[in-house]
Amino acid sequence: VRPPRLAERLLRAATPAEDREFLLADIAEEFQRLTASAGRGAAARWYWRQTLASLTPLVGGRATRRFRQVRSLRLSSSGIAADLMQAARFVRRHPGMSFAVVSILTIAFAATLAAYVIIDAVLLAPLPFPSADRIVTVRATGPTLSRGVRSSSRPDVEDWRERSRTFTTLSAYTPEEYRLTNRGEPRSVDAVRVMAELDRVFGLKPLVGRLFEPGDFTNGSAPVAILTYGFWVSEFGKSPDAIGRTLRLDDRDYEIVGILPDAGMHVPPGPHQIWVPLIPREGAFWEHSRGTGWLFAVGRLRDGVTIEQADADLTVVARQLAAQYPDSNRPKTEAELTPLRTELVGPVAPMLQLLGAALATVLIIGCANIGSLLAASAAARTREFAVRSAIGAGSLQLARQITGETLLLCGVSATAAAAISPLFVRAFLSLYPNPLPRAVQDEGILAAAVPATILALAVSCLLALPQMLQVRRISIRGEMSGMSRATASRGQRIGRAALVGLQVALSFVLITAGVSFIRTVRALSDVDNGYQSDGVLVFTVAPPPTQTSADGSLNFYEGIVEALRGIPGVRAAASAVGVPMTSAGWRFGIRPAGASSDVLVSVNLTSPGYFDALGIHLLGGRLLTPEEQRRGAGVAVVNEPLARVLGGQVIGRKFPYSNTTWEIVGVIDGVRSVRPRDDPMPELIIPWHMAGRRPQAIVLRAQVDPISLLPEIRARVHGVDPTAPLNDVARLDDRLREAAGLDRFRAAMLAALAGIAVILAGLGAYSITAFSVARRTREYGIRIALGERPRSVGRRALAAACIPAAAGIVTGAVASLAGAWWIQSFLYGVSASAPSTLIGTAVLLFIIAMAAGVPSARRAAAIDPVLALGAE
Amino acid sequence: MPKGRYLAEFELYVMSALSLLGEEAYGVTIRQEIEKRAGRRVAIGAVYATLSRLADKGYVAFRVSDPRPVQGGRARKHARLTPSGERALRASTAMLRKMIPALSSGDPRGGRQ
Repeated sequence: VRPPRLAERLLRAATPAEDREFLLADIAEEFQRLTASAGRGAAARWYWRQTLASLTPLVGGRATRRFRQVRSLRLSSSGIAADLMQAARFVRRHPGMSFAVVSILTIAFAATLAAYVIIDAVLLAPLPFPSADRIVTVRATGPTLSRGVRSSSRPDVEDWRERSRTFTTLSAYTPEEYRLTNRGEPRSVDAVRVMAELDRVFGLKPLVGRLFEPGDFTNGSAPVAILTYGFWVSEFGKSPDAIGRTLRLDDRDYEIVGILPDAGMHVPPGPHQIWVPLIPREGAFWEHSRGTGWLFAVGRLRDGVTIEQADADLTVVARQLAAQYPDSNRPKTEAELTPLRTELVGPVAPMLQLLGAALATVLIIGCANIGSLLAASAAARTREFAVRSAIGAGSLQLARQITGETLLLCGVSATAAAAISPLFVRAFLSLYPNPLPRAVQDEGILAAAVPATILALAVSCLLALPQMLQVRRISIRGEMSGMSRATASRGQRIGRAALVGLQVALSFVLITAGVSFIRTVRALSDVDNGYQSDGVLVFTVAPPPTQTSADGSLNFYEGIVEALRGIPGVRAAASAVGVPMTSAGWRFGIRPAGASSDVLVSVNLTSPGYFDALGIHLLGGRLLTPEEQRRGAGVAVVNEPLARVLGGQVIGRKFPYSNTTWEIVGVIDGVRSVRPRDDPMPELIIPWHMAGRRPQAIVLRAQVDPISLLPEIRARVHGVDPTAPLNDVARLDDRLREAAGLDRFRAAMLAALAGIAVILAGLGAYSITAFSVARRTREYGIRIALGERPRSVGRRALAAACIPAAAGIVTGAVASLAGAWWIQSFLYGVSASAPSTLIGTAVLLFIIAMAAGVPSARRAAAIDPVLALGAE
Repeated sequence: MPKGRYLAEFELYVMSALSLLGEEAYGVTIRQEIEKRAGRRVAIGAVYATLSRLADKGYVAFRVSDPRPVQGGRARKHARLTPSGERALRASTAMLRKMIPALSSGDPRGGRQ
């Protein structure tokens, strides 16, 4: 007679495994007896009563028991201390391995922490302003306008501020260089001319003194200036006496009225030392005009207003202005708002993301390496674990022991890493070639404390896992009697091979990226910039503030160029508004026939002899004559890209620009003037005299190293104007090198990381073969005893390294191809998925894996069967 | 006795049953012994749950008997008191004996701990 089936099933489910069969048999025994004595119905009812009454104590008992186990595991501090003692004993017994693990982890952790600190400070941390997410940059744009033009004019910004309803306030600024003459040697200082309320946009409060007031912006008011924190420190040593002192800027005295707080970044963005109020100047038509775009506009959104709403609001205003002032504003029919943070960190974000990704990859490789090392060590310790189980250690105790060991190793590494990560941060900052938009404060070890703890915990969990799998099913009897299977289980073998494959795959990705970056640097250094940079010195110099006429300004530059030509060793000298890598003229948009948007054209104005001095080729027609340069009108030279935009045969063609029709008389070669990786920009060269008072840059070609001529050059320039500061003095070659600095940095960084990755992957391949040979000594002994040739046994051993390496190479190739689109955005003149790169990397990694496996394979081939079998 | 070593009521029953049954104590006999003596219904699950708890406290040890050589003979999980279990039982009953005269009109089975 069977007991009620459902009741039996319930009882079975509720009973702990170790009691299940006994309890069910006990109750069945009584059930049978009861059936015989009281009948089937009564017995079934009894069985059901027993079942229902048993559920609560059984389930409750199990729950309490499990809770007690977990509590004893987690909360007994003496137990944790004991675990750590145990772990320390392990470290003492395996000093070599522990040292290797801790050093690899320390370096990997420190690099990761450094990347975290930098990425956090530059990309993630909120900008240091109240409600910083409400600050946006504003551009007037339109479907026909090209992006990248500074699009705001002063009247536009004032109207936006008046008419928009979604902004708390709106303001604008423009950088400007001034000549500072009352503080030691005359020199240039960078300033920003700011419109009213810029401080309100950023929510700034003065550190000392006051910020600008409405009265400071009226024409004819006494000139005032505000110092940035950095300039106050460097120039006045933080003295509050600075307030009330004067700065003589471009021959006018500015009273210092306030000091800005230290925000850890330039406010507004862009290097500068001084704020001055923006008051439109006489004679600078663009500062009054509505049609020009020369200001950077920023605004603060009202609370609760989204960017889209503000965008729609400003677009309405832009349309009103376009209707009201069609001459100047017809194309500016839309507004483009960008969060300030995006605008600021957008350009560096890809590079820092690359840094983070590369370091995370190295960290994973390091962890995989150590994971397989520890799993191998756990495998070698099965007997120790078996002994522990035999004397009563449950699986929880073994897990605790393993966790204790990895926690100790990771904890020590993370502490060391937190201590040295500031060094890594400093190294990165000193090697990083470009200015970062925000300062990385050196907060030392504390900045890394929290991430270091998280990292240590996460990594120790990861590392403990493979070991736990290793000891999960130890056959106590087998281990204790020495009869255990000498080879690892299939799952364990696959797990270890997968770890090696992972290392190889990630190394593959790093190597291909590194090689692509190196090839980019090569491609950039081979690029034809359109000019000869060797032996060329460039610098900028502004005409004296007293020289207010256009003619006077040209005479100033002509005087300097003449004086420089007289220096022995100087082959040529010239000046221009736009000199490659140094300065730029202004830009305008033209609409090529049949196109739907404008193409940007930059305007350049040069002294006679400029193109010769830079070695820029004349491709057709002629250059402007010195006579035309000084007085000409209606003649212009275009460069080859502009000629192409205009449709090829351009000499003799008429070209309308700025209310004038220009006859094109010549075509010159295009010049890569901003970044060597950008194609030459269309350029229009109009007579020099139209430069007016615009600051120009000087180029000087010498037969010797031009820097050696610098004292003489300075003396000659000061012969023309005794207080003229020479700014941005550099060899043109150095400028070009700087321009590729970030590419070289990327290449060096990836090459170094790929190198580390390859070493780790090689170690991984070495240890997996060594381990497999050690575990299979007996098997190989038997094989050799049975007549298999040593060579073939060696090949068998080598396969332990080569098969995971091959799988890793295939995986890595797939991953590289999948990530190629991202890497490609950093490259120039080379494809991220170039077959030569992929094949070369595959061959290199396979050879390394083979080489790493060879010593162990040799050992396998040389196994003496007698010794191998006798060793057991 | 340190805190936590007191025996709950049902634990006391189970241990008394073990003491009475000696070598014969296993699920069925323990359950029936308590039912017979205490005159209340006892669930087999409660017996097993209590036995494991007592085993965790170190008062009870188990022995799995070999299957008996008869038709349907099976292995049984026999329980017995450990020396510390016997001490705990003695201490608890002694304490009850001291307390019960004071509870002249109280529950003769003693209070719960």
